[in-house]
Amino acid sequence: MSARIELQGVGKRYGAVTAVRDVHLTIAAGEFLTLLGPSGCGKTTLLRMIAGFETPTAGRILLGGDDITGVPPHRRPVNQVFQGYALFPHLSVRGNVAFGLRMRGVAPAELGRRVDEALALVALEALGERFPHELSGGQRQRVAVARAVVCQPKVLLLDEPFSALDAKLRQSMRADLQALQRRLGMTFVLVTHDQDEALALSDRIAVVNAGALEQVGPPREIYHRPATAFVADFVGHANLLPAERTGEKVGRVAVRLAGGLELEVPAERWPSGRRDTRAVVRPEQVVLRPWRGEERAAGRARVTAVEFRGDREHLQVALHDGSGLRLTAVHPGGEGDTADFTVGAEVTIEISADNLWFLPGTEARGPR
Amino acid sequence: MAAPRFPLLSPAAGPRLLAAGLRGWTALVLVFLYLPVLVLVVYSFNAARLGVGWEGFSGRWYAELLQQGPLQRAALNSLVVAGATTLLSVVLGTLGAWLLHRYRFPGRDLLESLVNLPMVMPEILLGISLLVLFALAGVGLGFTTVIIGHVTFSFPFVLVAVRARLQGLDPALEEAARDLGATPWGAFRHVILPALRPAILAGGLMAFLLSWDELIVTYFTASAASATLPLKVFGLAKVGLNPVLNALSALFLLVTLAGVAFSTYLRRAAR
Repeated sequence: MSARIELQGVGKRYGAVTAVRDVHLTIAAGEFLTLLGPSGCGKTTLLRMIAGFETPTAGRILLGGDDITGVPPHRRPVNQVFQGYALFPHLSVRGNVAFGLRMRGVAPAELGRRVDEALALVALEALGERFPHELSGGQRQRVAVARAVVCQPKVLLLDEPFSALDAKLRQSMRADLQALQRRLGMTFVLVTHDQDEALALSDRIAVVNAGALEQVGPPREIYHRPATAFVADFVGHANLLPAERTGEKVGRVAVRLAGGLELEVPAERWPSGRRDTRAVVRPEQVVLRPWRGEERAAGRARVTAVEFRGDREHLQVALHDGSGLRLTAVHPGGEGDTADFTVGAEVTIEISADNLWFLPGTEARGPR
Repeated sequence: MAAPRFPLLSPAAGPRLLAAGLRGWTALVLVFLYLPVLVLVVYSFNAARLGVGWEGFSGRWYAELLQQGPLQRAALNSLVVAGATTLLSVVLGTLGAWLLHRYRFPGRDLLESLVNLPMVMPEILLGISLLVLFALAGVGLGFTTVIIGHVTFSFPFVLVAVRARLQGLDPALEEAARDLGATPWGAFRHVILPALRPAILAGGLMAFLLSWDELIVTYFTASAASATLPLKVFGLAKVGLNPVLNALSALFLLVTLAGVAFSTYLRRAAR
């Protein structure tokens, strides 16, 4: 029932403005893929081209092997959950869910059965006669999902489906959506700017920036092995430290980081053939210790800001080596040992070598 | 501190006096607005044929109205004209609003201002220009010309009402309908049109009432056979006041009030 989507060199231009350029992406049948990027990056335009609301100015879109590039939206076996849901205000919940089937001329008996099934799927059997304005935000989202999946689309598109919900509800709706996708085995394409959402839900994430794909891969790969500085910084927080190769041993590479830290890292993590690049140091990889008067200069820093977040605290530290580099570190928030890390405290930093990642590409990407 | 010398003027007296004054003024304005209408309705039940003296309650002028063939004919004409005007205004106004809202084309802004113009154009100007136009085109005056005249100034009211509603509508609704398998026409028919219903009804009602009591444009565009009630009443009143006219006007008022009540009901239902 679900199908594979192939974007082959898809591009979209509005006059002189290029919204999407040369996107090649294959989304497998039954996959949960997230298009992640900042607002205005072109992810929504990509989704709208798959839905049929926009026509690409370059390239082709294939669905299950058929070219659907020029097919109007009402004839595509693709349905969408809209941002803000776009429920029809004059129709009841049942009326909304039945709409797609009515447009396709499904016989009344089958229509009733399928609407019941779809409502059961999102646990809204009891609210069929309500109207959209009588529902809570979470219930509206479930109606929007039911209205789309009842048509048994080959691909379900979701445009920021959680943006209208408060933080607490968002968590539980996320879990529901993921369970639903597993159960239906349907291809899901989600658009979001929320990296937490993308990391939590997706089989694969496609990071979009300035109309092009930066990196496509499973969440863990995106987070732990970012391909570009943009990905490293957009997905989670990253300290990008200039790094230089100083030597080589069996299976390991000796590296000097800005701030004077010397490390030996696994050779497979260093981009082969490069003398220098940047290290992606996640805040949780920065280990802070109070400075006890050691002579060693490397890794000495001073705390410049502390931000308490409840379960943890984020600290800004400035390195003492004169480079003026600042790092963000995460420290588990506790009541006892906080005194060591107040603003102005002298600390030494250590970075665990084994999990450090180095950007493989050329330094900054050239202007587009 | 000494006892207040003017116990009437306590600190609360100022606001209270103001409130009383405002209430009195409001009552005065309402009396000014509605007294003539009230007098008309009361006198439609006066048994006297001439003069303003009250000679007892009577329904005879209403009974006499039933004998007046030409007046009944004019009332029927008015209903036909107002009905046709409403229908045409609703269709033209709704489609026009959709076009202006949904599509971008050269001259769109100009068209939008031109469409609104007949609402504020002096009716005498509209009437004369229509008469000249019909004469030039060789169209004989009759129902068609009256209805065209009325639609000219009525349909912008529908258009404006529908346009406002469209602007408040989530643009994703149309896309959602398309996404769920509706053709462009299907999306309009099944999603946009139902969402516009309150605006269409309100605009249509406005068109009906405007046409129902229109005199000047009708005066220039009607033939004897297509004369409407206001035109007939105007003609009769010039000859001399007649208690039958009071009864007729009272009934006329009833239709208008029914329309206003219906529109109030619609606005309540829309909320």
